[in-house]
Amino acid sequence: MVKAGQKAAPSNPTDETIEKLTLELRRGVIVLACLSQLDEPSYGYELQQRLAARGMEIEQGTLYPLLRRLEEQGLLGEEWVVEGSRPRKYYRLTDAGKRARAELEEQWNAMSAVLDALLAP
Amino acid sequence: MDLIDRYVEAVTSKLRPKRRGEVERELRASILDALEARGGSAENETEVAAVLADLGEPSRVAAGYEPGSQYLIGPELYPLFRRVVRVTLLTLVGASALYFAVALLLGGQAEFRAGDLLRDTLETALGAAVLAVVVIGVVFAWLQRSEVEVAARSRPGERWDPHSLPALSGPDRASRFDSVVGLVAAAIALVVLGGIGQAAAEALPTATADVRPIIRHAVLQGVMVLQAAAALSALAHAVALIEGRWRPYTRAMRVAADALAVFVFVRVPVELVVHRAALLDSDLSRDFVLSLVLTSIVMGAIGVAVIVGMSVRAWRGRRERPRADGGTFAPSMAGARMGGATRSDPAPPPGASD
Repeated sequence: MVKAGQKAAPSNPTDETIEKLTLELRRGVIVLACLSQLDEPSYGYELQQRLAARGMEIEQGTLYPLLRRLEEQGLLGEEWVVEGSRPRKYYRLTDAGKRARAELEEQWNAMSAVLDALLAP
Repeated sequence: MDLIDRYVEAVTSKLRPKRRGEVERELRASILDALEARGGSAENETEVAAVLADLGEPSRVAAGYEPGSQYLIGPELYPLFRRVVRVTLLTLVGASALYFAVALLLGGQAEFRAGDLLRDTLETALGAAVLAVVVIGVVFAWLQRSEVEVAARSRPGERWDPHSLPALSGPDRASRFDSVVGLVAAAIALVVLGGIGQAAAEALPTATADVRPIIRHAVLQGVMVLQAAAALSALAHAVALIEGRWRPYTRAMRVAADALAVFVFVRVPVELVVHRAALLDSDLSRDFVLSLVLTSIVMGAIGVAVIVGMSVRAWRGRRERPRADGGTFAPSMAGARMGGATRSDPAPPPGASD
């Protein structure tokens, strides 16, 4: 019951709220998703398409800056390769990136198991 | 290629200079990859627009490259802020030194002692410096906020229209530095003019009947016209800053403001110098008359010099930067090499060819 003067909470979350929560949820796993696909060198668009084909849609405007930040953190190495008439920037995991991926994977598996248990009916 | 060039510039202009070259290459390569995957061409504006819309609004993409933008004055604006503060303070120092020198030269009377004059000049310069930094800070905080609002204008899922991109740097592109300096200068001028007008209005009742018309015509009217010019100039610069380019009507406002200001800058000192004898013979204090004449000469000279200087700069810019149409993002394979590019490589984006 809502008392006088108390603001009533909306009975259903708005689409915008759900969208924001979903974005926050995805934000945490995007890094691991990218690292998981970069054992072999891959350029930005190719990586985006590969992730999308496996059900992980990431906007290009989010992915490219993220790859650059991971590169600056030393988790990815980069190489410009000329193919045909144009160069492409290929990213691949560095040794530090491989260690980070293994650590994150472990964390993810642990969290996933906990959440599975929490969400189980 | 025009849309791609505009997009890349819209993103990279928000980044720190050392990042720009590499991000530009990367963005161009990615845009062309996406176009190729769609079977499109860089010449087809509709296809390019679709790819850019997928890539997202430039402010959002730039924010991704420069995370942590929750600042009063963020890292992308801070270099410009520092530059504006430096130029403004240097101008103030120069103006104060010039005022002091001219006053010493012309006002050698006993009551116009150098020590007092130096103290007054320093006090005025310090007050003006504090005022200038505060005004500049407020303008930049507003600018930072408007950038954030621009970035937040489109929500995820909303389709962003690449045709809303600003024009490339060119004769019509409004430099943020120039616009901010113009805005700050106009704001400071409004405040200072208000003070001068008030001082003159207070002096008016004590003046003799033959001096009143001189003060009224030379000072009060001049101040009012200058205030109108400053307001017009501030409006023109604010609109140019928001729109990112000079349009005919904003240019006309700026020219009108400049013309008004030059007219006053010339008319007031001439009128005061011509009537100097009458002013000195009046009940007005000698210090006041001398400082009024000196201020009008110094301000008039600085005002005309600044306006002429900015006009010459703008004119040169129009002659030397025909880039908006011609485009200097000429593709070149010179910078392409296997794995050779480094982060600081300034080479143009190879493969940006169509």
